Amino acid sequence: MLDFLLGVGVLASLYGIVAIALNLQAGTTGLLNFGIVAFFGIGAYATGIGSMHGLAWPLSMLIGMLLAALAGLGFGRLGSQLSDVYWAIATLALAELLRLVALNSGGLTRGANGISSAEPFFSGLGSTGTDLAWLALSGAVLAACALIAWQAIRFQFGRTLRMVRECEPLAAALNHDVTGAKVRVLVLSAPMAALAGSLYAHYISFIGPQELAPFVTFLIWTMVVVGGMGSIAGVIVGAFLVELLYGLTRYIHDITGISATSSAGLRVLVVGACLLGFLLFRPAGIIPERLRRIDASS
Amino acid sequence: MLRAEGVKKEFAGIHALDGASLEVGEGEAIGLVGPNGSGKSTLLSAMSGFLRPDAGEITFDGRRIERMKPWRVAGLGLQRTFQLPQMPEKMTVLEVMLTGARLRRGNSIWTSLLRPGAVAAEQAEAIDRARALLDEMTLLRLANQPAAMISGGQQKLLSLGAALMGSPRMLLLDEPTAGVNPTLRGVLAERLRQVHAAGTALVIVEHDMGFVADLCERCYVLDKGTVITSCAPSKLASDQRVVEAYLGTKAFGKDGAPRRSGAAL
Amino acid sequence: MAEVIARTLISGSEVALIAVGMTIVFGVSRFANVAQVEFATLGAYGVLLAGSVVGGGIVLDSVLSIGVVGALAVVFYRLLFVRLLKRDAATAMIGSLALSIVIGAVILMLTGPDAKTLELPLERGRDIAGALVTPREIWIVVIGVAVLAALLLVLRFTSLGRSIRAVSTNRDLAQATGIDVRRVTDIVWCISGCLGALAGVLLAVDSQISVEMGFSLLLPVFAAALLGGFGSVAGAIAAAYLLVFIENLAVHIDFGQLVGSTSAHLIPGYQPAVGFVILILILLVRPQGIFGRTARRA
Repeated sequence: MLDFLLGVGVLASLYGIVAIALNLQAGTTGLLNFGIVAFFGIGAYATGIGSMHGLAWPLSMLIGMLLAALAGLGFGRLGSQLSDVYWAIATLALAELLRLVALNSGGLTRGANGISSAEPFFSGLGSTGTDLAWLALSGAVLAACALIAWQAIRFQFGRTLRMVRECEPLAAALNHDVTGAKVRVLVLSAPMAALAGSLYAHYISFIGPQELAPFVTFLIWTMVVVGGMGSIAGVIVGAFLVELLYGLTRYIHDITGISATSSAGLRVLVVGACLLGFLLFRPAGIIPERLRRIDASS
Repeated sequence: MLRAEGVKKEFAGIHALDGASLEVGEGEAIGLVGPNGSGKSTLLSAMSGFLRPDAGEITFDGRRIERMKPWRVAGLGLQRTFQLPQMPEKMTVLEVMLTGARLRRGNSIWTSLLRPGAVAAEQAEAIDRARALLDEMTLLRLANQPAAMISGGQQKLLSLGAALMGSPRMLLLDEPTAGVNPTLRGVLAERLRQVHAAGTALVIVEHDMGFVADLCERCYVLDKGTVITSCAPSKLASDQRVVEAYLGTKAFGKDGAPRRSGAAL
Repeated sequence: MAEVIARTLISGSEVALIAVGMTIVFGVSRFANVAQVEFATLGAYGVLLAGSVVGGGIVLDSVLSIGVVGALAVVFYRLLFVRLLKRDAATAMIGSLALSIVIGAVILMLTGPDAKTLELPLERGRDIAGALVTPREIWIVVIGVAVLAALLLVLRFTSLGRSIRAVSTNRDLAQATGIDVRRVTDIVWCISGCLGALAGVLLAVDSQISVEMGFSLLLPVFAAALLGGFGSVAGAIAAAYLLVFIENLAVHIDFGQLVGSTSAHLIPGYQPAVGFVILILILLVRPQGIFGRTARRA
């Protein structure tokens, strides 16, 4: 039971970091990034590939974050060319493109076999100790990312992003470089997702193409929507709730005795129903974005 | 200061602008009038970077702006308002005002992260200025309301206020009085008079001839995408070409004086 | 070369059917339905199901399956997308991503992960101008092209087609001129479901039935719809054949020979990506697509 909760906690923290990145893009800025898993995957694969070639893990991690920032820049540049819906499609397709590369570049990524040479952290602490240490680490990184996200959009930059989300022409008329703002928020958030991906690769000591599947993007979106688009606290709550739910559904197989593949389908179904239910009946999420009142004295 | 020459824009075979030219000097107040569909709003969009003309030249302070992005044009001090400003649901009136302010520190991610104190100081000054401006426009009590929730007339005032937060050197106003009740219209006119007196040039697209006559020294009259004449607002009714352009509409009263009603056109 | 053309006609027809469905739905509902590709998966599994329940032969089973998926598309629209669209197109797109994952999950639950095949008699391929083609493949092309042509004719020359075009151009205006917009929208969703299911049936006849079959077409379908300029049916059809042609060509060309070194072929796994890479390159130069409306932001 404790191990289960610890495992959920670590995964929720790691995915929560990606959810915070997605929330900066989609929640705050209104960018429909359906390829958020690409940034996560860049970080994870940088760590995996780095470990294959004997690179020190912090270096691989940094390279991954840097590459993700570059990818964010590319996504953002594409955003100046394409309108919203087209951009959303393009991101989904770019992430699929990356998965295809991971699947087919045997020499670089070991294809479908994946890479399992990423250095495991805290391996001397015993099973529970390792998980506890991981929870502390991932929780700390989550907190740091949340703080950075909160502080970065606390002032004018955040207002610009929200204005871009709600009334783009007005933002442009008020002297705000709309394309630049989108690029900057992508470059800020992409390395967060890459960092989470890198930690993930260390945590499960494996990275394969299935970690880049659209399902991951969908899981992150569910966390953001359930928690509350545009609300950092909400997104963290959403990450833990959705990951807990997803973790619990693993036991459906044990309890009901249905086949393993059926329960795999059922697990996805539960998350999907959760996302659709919130979209239909509580689109603002559990903790809706609140209005930022400014009092006279401040 | 602002010069447009031979500006052309075609939409699906219709010449919305067909070689329009005008010139606005430092600190002038100019009316841009003409019948519906004469290209006033299109010209305004072209002069603010929101529309790229097919042909022609637009300069502001000698700098070519017809291919610039809207925010770059605004950055030069040439700002616009919208006929129907769309206002955000999740931002307050005060926040919209602040969005209009030029807060260099707060706009930088690095400074926001590393020197929040300096950012807050810069912002505090802007908040004071925004609140003062809101007070003058009778909107202060709505400062913490969602901007989308206030009335249409109040939203138009707000969009003017947000533009003024950027201290523009020239303001392009797209039908500032349309849909604004008489009380707020008075507030609006008073604000514009003060802004103009402080040296900001105004270009006002407007159907309410009385409003134009009150504020503007000179008018450009557009018809079918070209500027047909330029004269003092009081001379509009006596200009044969203007009357012909408006033929069949009732912009002018029987005595030839401009009517105040904005609904006439 | 004959082989390339034959492959282009076969899979181009399948891609075109789905892309056209996506593009007409975009016309009347103003969002890109990611779940469109799942209509193909549903159609293919529908034939399997009809085969085991009704067993009326491949033609009857297919017609049944296509009809049911068409009806299902309307149900999805009415129960889900009408409500999501009341908020905005972005919400609808997130919902369609969720729906596509849910559909995959349900199929996985019910049938398991193994690929299936229709029990059809083996056919001997014939040599037509150098390409080895089975009679069944000729049928696929004939049916695909006939349906696409019929659709173009219906859109151009019937009153239903005029109504659909009117609603796509300007929904409010169409409403004002007395067109029953709701009914037209229902019909368009039904058509898109039928087209997708037909493509799925053709795919099932051609190769295998698997949970991923629809999603694996996502890249070429998006690319075709985007390149055609969303909303343009003729554009989507032309773009689909063009992209599939280039994809096949890219896999068949010996790049090694071109530069005078040893034989070097593109890995077949990259085939679905070729079209999309070309698309991104084209969009950067010519954002309005080859036929339709602009994709570039205003």
